[in-house]
Amino acid sequence: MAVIKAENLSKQVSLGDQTLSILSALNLEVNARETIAIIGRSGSGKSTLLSLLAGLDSASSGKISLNGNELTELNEDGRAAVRNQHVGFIFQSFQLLPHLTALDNVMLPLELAGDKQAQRKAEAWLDKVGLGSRMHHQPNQLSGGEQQRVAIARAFVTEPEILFADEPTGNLDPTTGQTIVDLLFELNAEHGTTLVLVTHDHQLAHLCQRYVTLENGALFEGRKEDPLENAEHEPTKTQQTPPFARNC
Amino acid sequence: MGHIFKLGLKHWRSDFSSAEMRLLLIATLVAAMSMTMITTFTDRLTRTMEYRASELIAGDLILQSQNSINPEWIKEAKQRGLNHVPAIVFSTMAYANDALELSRVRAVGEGYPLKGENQVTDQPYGKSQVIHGAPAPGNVWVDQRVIQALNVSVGDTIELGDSEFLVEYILVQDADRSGNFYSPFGAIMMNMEDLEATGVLGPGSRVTQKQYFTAPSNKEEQSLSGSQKGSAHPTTDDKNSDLQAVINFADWLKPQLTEHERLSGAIDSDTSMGTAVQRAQQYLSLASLVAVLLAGVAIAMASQRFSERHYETAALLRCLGAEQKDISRIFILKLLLTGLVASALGCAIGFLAHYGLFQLMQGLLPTDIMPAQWGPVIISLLSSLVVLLAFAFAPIQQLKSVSPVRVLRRELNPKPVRLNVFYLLAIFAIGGLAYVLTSNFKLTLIFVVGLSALSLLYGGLAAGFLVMIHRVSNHLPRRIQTGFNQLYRHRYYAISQLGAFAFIFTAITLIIVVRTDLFSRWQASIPADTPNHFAINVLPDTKDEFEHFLEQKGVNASAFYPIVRGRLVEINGQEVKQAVSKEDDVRAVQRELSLTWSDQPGADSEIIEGDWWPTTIKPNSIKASPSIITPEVNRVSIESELAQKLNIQVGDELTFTIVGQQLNATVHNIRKVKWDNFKPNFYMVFEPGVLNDFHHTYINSFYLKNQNTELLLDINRNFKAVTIIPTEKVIKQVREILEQTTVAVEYILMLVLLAGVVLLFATLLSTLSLRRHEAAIYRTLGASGSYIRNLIVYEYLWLGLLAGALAMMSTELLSWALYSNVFQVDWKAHPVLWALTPLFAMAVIVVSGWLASRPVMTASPNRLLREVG
Repeated sequence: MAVIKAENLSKQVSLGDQTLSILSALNLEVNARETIAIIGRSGSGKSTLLSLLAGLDSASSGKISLNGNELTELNEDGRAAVRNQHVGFIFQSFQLLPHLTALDNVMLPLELAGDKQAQRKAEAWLDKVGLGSRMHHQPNQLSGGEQQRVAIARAFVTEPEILFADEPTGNLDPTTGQTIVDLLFELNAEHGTTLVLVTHDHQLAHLCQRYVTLENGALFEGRKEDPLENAEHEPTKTQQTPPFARNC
Repeated sequence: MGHIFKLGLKHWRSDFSSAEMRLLLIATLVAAMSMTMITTFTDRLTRTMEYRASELIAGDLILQSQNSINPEWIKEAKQRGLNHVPAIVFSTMAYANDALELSRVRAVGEGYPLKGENQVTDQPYGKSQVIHGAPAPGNVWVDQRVIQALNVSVGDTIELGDSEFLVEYILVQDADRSGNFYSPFGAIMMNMEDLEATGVLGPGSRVTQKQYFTAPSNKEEQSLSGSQKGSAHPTTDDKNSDLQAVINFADWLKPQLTEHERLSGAIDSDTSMGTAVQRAQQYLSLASLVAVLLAGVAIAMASQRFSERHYETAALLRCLGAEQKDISRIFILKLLLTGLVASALGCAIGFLAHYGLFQLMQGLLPTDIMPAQWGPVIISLLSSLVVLLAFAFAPIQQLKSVSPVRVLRRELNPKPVRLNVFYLLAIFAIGGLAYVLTSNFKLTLIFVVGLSALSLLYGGLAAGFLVMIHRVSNHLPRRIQTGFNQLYRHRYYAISQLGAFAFIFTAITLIIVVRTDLFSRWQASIPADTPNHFAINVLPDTKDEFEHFLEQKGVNASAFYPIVRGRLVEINGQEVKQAVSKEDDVRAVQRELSLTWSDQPGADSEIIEGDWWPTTIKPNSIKASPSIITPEVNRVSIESELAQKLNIQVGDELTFTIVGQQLNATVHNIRKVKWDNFKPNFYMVFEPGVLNDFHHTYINSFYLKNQNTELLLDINRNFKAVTIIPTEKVIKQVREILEQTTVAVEYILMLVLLAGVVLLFATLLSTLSLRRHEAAIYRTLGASGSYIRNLIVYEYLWLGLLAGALAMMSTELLSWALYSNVFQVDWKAHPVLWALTPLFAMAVIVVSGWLASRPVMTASPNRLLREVG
């Protein structure tokens, strides 16, 4: 069953008197518990697609359904409520609030939802990501890897159905990056979360059950068993005909 | 809602030490501090003056009259259970050791004072002691001025008229000091029983009869409360109920009063403050207004910065599911809590600092200053919160509209909200506060509207300056050009910073210019040969002889003016009392006026409406006597301020009563009079001949270089009816007050300056991260520390020059508006200002900018890069 469904999704932005098309008539379905990577070159529109799928931004046209919620019919506050209930985020730049401790950062989404067990749950998750002894440290007292662990704990603490990760290892060295990826996939498997991973790292994309490539505003299906080098094939009309999604 | 509040609280606590929060905190703190310091100081000083004028009146109520007081009224007061005691106040010469001193004598009845206490001492400037009751018959208490003037001490005797009195004590403070705050005359207190024997009062003598009344229980209380400050303001329920009896009596009495009587007291306080004090107060109001506006600008800058630094936080919160209203709530809560802490702290510091101000001015101000009250502190606290919220509202609204996509794309800034509407609201809020602070609508309007209009212009002017200089910048020396290019590259920030700096420097220079102009021009208006003696009661038949006498002695005397005492009772057939609203305290209609006639407007007078009547009597018209033919139409000239207060126009019909007779006259013109020239000045000047039927005396003024006692004694011997009033002391006192108030306002000026500089520093800090980022890149690319230093210094020099130029122009415009509309002072351009303001602005901005940017210049590139991430 599809937890994310995008139909004819387009996004244009105006730059002065010119209109730039970033995404055009794009379709995508992601099933529950599936792990999918969106790959593409810098500037291909990966982050824009992620922001639309996660309800951070509104599309110029088309429809997006997230866990049964029609995002395109909701206003910004409505989308915020959907994010709070169903979505977790992990970012390349961690996006931790510098003045809050690790614990406070993890508690943040729970506090926004008015969860009275916020502290207990956040402590448990920090323990789980191996930061039980660092929970009262502020981000600037933590290494990059540790900061991303805090971000992972924050993403999972609300037990979301869907997790969006934007270049989660982009700011980390390969060893630390590998550790973070292992942790992310382990927790994802453990909690059965749907993972949408945006990356330009093909090896990382390879870890997902499937991947799609974004190029010139269009989406191309790539399968796990396909060699990644073949992903850069010519765009075909199939991009217009959903669904690409399949169960792994 | 509750969880959002908790979240906001938590964020506030953890964010408390951040740079942007500190900036907001400092701006609000300084605002609250300066407001509290100025308002508490002004409030205490004002209340001290009011206290001295209305509280120290030796009773709850005073009835005073220039005639004898109706005995029926005393009977009624007794029946109502009120205590009462009489006093007669008059001026006469005291004599001892061949010296004369014009003194204000208060002959008091048994039981005086009903309230408060007299303070006396045994030796000059000795320790004062409280004494109840009045001098025993045969004794007098005289003040230090009399002691000095007559060269007497306690135990000596002085003469008043035909009687001799023993000086029992030196009077330090009379229980009744109403209207006597800066009395120029010596004071003598004597027992009323002795009055008749002195023979100084004959029929027609100018005396003031007084009756003091107190509530039934006051008399017993007096000994208990006598040593407590503010004892005449009953605050308990008992006192209030007792006071009600006094109020009822006053209500009964008021309708029966004639124009000769006046009722005043704690209930209906009448404060009489000198021009100097009034001007100082006006100036202090302006200073507090400036403090509020400086605070507004600084807070606006700081909150914009606060908002910009929280875009990421807002975006993340939105991303994690916070609704727009949650963002508003979280940040408004942070703002409120910051405001509360900063304002409370600022108020506390300001409150303590005002003690410092009094300490610094010890010896210049009265010693018994009224205690501080919470009112000004609370007003300052609320004011700084209102200013904070008003100016921070727009930036906070911006935070609400930050897109959650910013977590992925940092360059996404929120769409600008309709700032104009919010800033308009902020200006209204500031205007409201300013009015509360100054109680002067015109002053508030000119200042707030003027500065708002100018600040709108600043943007355009600053941009214009930048573009113009950019065009010619190639011709400038290299370093200066580099500095300008740096400023030009930052023009987005530069324009807003220029506006803020121009605003701050306008406020500071305006305060300096107004202080200098008001006080120096007023000082110049009292030249060295200002007449220092008045001769009054010169009878018509001795006038020529007296004039001749003065001529013989080589005394430079002014013209003689005839005087007829009369009262204005009707305007166009309507009673004056009805024409004057209760709020307007028009003293001129509450007492008898000195009416005169002349065929020439005075040299210092200016006809502002209508024209002067044709000169019909020649030559030497001033010697006009009742033999002049009475004109067909009675014409009168009226002083402009009184005309304005009573809404009198040229052509209006005025009715006067003079010794029981009525006289009608048409207003022929309106005159502007310089009251502070120490020459005889009049509200009403009639056309010669109009006052033919009334008895008159003459007045003139003259200047004596040194205190010529011999000449004055000579006048006293030869012209017994003539009373000489030396005004030397008044002039000296006015000069002293002027010096004192100048010192006071200079301290306040220093505070405004300090506030301005601190806020300027805060504004500079707002672009520090931008500079740090740039410096990091410059340093990485190999720029030396001195290159960056030069870049920053020259950029600040340009910033100072342009801000100074803008401030100079606005100061000239605003001072012109204030002088012509509020202070009524002639405006002249200030060429010194044109040069000094830009120099001053450059110096201040470079020094503050240097201090603020020092970390950028000295830090290693590695550290800077790490800091800017």
